[in-house]
Amino acid sequence: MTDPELDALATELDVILEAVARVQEVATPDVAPTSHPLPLRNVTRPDLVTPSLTPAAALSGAPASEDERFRVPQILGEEA
Amino acid sequence: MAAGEISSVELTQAHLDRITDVDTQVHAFLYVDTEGALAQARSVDDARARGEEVGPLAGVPLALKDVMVQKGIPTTAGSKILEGWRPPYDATVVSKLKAAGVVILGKTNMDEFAMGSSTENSAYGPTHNPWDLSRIPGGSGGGSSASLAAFQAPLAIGTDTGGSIRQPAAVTGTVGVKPTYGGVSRYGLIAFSSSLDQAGPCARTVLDAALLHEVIAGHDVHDATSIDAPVPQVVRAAREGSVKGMKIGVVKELNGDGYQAGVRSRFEESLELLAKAGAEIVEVSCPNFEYALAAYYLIAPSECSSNLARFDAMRYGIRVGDEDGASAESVMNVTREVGFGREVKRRIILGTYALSSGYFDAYYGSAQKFEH
Repeated sequence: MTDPELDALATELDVILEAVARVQEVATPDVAPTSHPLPLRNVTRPDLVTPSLTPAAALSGAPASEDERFRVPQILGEEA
Repeated sequence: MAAGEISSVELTQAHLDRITDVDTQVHAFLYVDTEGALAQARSVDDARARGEEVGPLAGVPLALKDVMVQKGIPTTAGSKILEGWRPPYDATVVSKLKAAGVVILGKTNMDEFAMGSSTENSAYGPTHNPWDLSRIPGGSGGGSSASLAAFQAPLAIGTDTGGSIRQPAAVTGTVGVKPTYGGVSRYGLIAFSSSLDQAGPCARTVLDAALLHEVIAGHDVHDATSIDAPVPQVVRAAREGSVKGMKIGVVKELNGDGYQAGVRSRFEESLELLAKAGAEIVEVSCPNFEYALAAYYLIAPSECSSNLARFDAMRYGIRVGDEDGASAESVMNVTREVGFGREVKRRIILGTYALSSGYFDAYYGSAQKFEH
């Protein structure tokens, strides 16, 4: 991001701190966190091998590919 | 269509023509799949001609919010970072629509990655409210709601994380439902906030929305958060239309300041109508509602920052800045700088901050206590 963009955003981070303060008014230790309205536990399905994407399909959206692999920029660039 | 008065091809073509006529003004669509739609329409007409039984929505055209992946069809989620991407698979919602014979006309405009309430955050330009083109159609699903209000499609699919089906429906005078979380599969729904996102039916009547809900809802093995229970009989309920004896709770804490006069009076009118129709109106108290917005401001950006990390220029989407031996990290940075809009960047940064080590439990963990 550009420096002006970062400066503008820095002031907005307060919204997170305010939200935390608000939420902590009632988020006491005895309240369990949830991510779902229903008590789902250990959702599994049979461990069966079924067809999935072919290499061609999986690579079809790749910016670059070679030898049935994603071709990506080197992890350490010129500047390393 | 069942009575033979009109074919699906005629119906589909009429809607495609309508899109051609008005979409330069409304801009509800990002992509129109003329060939695919007419092919699906033809196959439904052929099935009917052969005397095969088809479902209630077979041959009916639909507009699909561009946040749902559709195999081989440009899917952008309203973002530049996915410009030109054609998914290699269908979302479960899309598979179900196709299996039901629904004709998908095209992909509708939206706020980028579903972040927004006006569709002005789309990387592809805003959508306009068909009732008054100088106004917004709502968001993030403004393309879907506008396509219904402009009669470009009788049905649409939207997604709702913090109101993105319901609010556009309200501001375009159409029907939009956010199903209970887990009611509709999220497989193939480009994720914004995984514990809140839901796809849902949009239409011009409640019965149409109910018919569409029964097509798309249900348990899916590909979505571990989907509910493993029969789909509620919403079509029967919509056809019967009776609220006699039903208890309807009005949340006390939603009473307050900040409502425009007309909105409040129409709400109160609707309570009178329900009471006249035989429902029992009861005041209920949900004291934690006043913390809901703060919880949302922690949960949604946090989950968004994690979900959008996948757009890294490596496996799909655009890639920018990879000349001159630039490193992978540099390419990721430049691509994301160019590919994401301002609102998306804002939420990623807020979410990353909220999740940063040492604060995870205090911030996201606390907010999860409000999740539902």
